[in-house]
Amino acid sequence: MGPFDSAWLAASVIAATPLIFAATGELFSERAGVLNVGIEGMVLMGAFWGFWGDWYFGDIWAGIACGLVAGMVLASIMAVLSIQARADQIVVGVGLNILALGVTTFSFREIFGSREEIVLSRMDPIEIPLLSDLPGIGEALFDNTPITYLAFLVVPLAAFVLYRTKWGLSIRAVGEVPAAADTAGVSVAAKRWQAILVTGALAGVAGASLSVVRLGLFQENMSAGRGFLALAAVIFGRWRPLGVLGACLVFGAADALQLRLQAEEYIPSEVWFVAWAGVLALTMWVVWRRWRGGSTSGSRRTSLPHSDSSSPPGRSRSGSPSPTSRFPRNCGSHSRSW
Amino acid sequence: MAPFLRMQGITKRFPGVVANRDVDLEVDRGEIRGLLGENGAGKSTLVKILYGLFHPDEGTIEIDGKPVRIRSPRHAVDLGIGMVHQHFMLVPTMTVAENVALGLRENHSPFSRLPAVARRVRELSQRYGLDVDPDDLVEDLSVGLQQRVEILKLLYRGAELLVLDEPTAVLTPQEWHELAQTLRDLADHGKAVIFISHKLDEQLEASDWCTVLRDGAVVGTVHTDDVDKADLARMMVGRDVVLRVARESLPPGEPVIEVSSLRLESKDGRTVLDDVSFEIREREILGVAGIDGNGQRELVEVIAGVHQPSSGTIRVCGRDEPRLTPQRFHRHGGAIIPEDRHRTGVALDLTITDNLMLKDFRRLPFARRGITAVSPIREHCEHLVAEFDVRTPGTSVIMRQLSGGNQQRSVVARELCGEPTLLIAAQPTRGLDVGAMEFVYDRLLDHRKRGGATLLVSTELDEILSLSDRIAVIVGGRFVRILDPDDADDETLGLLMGGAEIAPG
Repeated sequence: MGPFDSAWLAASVIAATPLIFAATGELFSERAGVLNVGIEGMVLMGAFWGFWGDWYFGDIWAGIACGLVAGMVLASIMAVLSIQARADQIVVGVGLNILALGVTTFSFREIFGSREEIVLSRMDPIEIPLLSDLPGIGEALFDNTPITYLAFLVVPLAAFVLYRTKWGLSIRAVGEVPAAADTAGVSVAAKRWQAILVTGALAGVAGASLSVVRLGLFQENMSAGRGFLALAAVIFGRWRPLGVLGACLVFGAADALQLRLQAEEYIPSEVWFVAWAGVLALTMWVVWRRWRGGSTSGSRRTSLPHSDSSSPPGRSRSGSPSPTSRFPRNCGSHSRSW
Repeated sequence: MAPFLRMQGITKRFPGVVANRDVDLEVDRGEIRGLLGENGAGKSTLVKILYGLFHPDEGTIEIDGKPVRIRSPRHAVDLGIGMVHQHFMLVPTMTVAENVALGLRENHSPFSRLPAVARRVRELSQRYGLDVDPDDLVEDLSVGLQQRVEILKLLYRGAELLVLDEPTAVLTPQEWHELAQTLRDLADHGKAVIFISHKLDEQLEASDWCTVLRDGAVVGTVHTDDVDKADLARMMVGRDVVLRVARESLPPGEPVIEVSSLRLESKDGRTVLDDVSFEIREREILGVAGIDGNGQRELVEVIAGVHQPSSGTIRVCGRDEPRLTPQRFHRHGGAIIPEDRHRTGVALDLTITDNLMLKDFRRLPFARRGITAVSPIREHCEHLVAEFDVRTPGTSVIMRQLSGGNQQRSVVARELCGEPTLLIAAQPTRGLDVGAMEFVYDRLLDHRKRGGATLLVSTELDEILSLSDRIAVIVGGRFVRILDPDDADDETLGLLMGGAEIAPG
C-alpha cells in the first residue's frame, strides 16, 4: 500500500488541526489590518502553558484553557506595542516570537528540568456513530479528538462572525479603510485590540492542541514554524475562512505525507523534508505573484501611523482631508500599490 | 423660529496662527449655504469645529436654538450633523449596504442585519432621487455614485444638516450638475446644506447664500443672485483678480523641441499616441486641450523621457535625441510640473527643503564630493520660499502639512528656479483656488517671457485659451487639429474634443 491511504488522510487531519486554529485566529488580525507575525510565539506559549496546565491541574481541558490564556497574554503585549505604542508590527511580532521561545524554554527547564520526562495521557478520540463506519474516509475523519472537531467548527463560526455580525463588519472595515471606520464611529484601536486577542486565544488553543492533545509532552520550540505556516495559510487562503481552511488542509496533508515518506528507507528523510519545503515555497511564490497582480478583495497589510497629529499647524494644514490622516491605510515604507 | 444651526463668535487658534476669528454662521433648513474662501482661509477648520473634530477657543454653537458643545464626530452625528468628506470614507470592497451599516447603533442586536439596512437604503434612495442600489459593490460605482452613497450614509443616520467639503474636486461636469440637483432636492425636503468650494461658478450655481471667509474671518454673506464671479473673487482674495490673464505677444524664437510622427503603444498593444507631430519654439506656449484620458498623460511621459516612443523622432534644440530619459530631459534644460501632485510632484513625507532640492541636490554648490552642503541649501530654499510665496512656517516643515496650493507653489519653485528651456505643465492648476491659479499663470508667462518653451496640458479650456500661443486638440491619442487661439473658443474646442469633425477655416 502506498503513502496515499486512509491513514495518511487521518494524519493530514491531525496535522491540520493546530494550523486551522492558528490560521483562523490570524485571519481576524489580518482582516483588522494587523499583520500578526507574533503568532508563532503565541502558538508556542499555548503549547507550553497548555502542557503545564494539563500537568498541574491534571485535566486536558484545563490545559487547553491555560494555553488559550497564555496566547492572549502574549497577544495583549502585541496589542499594546503595535496599537498603543504604534511600533512596527513586524518588528514587534519578531520580538514576541523570540520572547516566547525564551519564556517557554526557561520555564520548561525551571519547572520540569529536574524531573524525568513527563508524558501525559493524550486526549481520547471520539467516534461519531454511523459516519465513522463510512468506508475509506470514515475512520480518518470521524474518529478524532474533540479538539479536531472543534477546529472544523471554528471555521464556519469565524465566517459567520466576519460576515453576519456588526463586529465582523467593523473588523473588516477597520482593516480595509481605517479612516472610513473611524468616521463611521468605529474605534479602530478597540477593534484591533479585540482582533489581536482573538488571534492570541485561537493561537494558544492551537499550541495546546499540539502539546497536550496530540503528543502529551512538551519540547523546546515545539511549534516549529506552525505559526508561520498559519500566516502563509491566511495569505494562500485569500483572507477568507473557507480558503484558509483549504490552505490548512493542503499544508497538513503535505506535512503528513512528508512524515510518512520519511519512513521509506531507500531515500533519506532530508530529501523529503526539502521537497516539502520546496513545494511550500513554490506555492507561496505563486500566491505572491497573484497577490501583487492587483486583486480586489481581502484585507492586506495595514498598520497604524507613526504620528497622530491632532493639533495641526493651522492654516497650512487646512487643505488636507480631515480625519483621514489619523489612520492611513499603509504606513509609508510598507505601502504597496493595491 | 431659530435657524437650525447658529454659530456665533467662533474663534480657534493654533500655535502661531488664528484659524478662525470671530466667525458667525447661521444656516436654516431648506437652505444651501456656500462657504467660499482660498485654501487656508479657515473653511475646513470651521467645519471641523462643527463636526466635533476641533473645539473652539471661543464662541457658541446652537442647534435648533439649543446651545450645544459638540464633543466628537459621533456626537455631531447624534445632533443631526453629517459630513461628506473630500476623500470618501467608504470601504471599496464592501457593498453599499455594508458601508451604510458600518458603525450603526440603531439596535442592540449583534448581527448586522444587512437585508433590513438594504431595504431602508433603497427607500431613502428613492425618496431623494439618488438612484443607488444597496447591493452594488462600492468599488464598481462611479465617483459620482460613491458620493451619493456618502450622502445616503448621512441620511440613514438622520442628518438634518449636510456638510460637503470640496465635493466637486473629483467630479466630471455631468456629475457636478447631478450633485447640484441632489443638493437642491435635499434642501427642498427640508435639509440644511453647507457646500464648501473655492470654485466661483459652482457657488453661483448651487448655493442660495454664500459666506466668504478670508484669513479666518467672515468677509461677508451674499445672496448668489446678487453677485457675479468678479464680486466673489474680490471678496475672497481681497483685491481685484484678473481671471483672464494679459498675454503680451512675443515673437517666437528657435525651435526648442520638434516632435514628428510620434507613436506609442501600451503594453497590451493599444495605440495610445498616434502620429503626433508638433514643435514648440522659444517664447511659445503650446496648449494641449482634450478630455482626460485621451493620451495627454502618455504624451507628457514620452516628452519627459519616462517612456520610449514606439516610433517617431524627437529633436531637442535642433539635435536628434534618439533615446530620451528623465536624466537627459533634465540635462537638456527640461522641467515638468506633473499632473498628479501627490504621486509624482512632491514627496509628502519629506520636508519642504528636501522637496525643493530633489532635482539639484547632486550638483554644486549644494553638494561637494557627495556631501550635501547645509548652508547653501538652506539659503537657496529660503530664497525660493520667499520668491515663490510658499506659505509655510519654515523650510523644515513636512510637505504633507501644506495646503494644495502651497504644495503646488513648491513644485513650481523647484521646476522653474533653474530657468528651464522647456517646461511641461500638466494640469498645473488642478485643485487650486483662484489666488494660487493666478500665481501659476504669472509664473508660466514669466517663463515664456524669459524665452522658455512650454507644453501646457490642461482640461480647463479657460486656461488653454488664455495662455496658449497655439492650441492642439488631442482625441484618442491624435492631434486632430492645431489652431490659433484667435480662431478658437470654448465651443469649437469642446466640439473638437468631443470628436466632432469640423472643417478648418
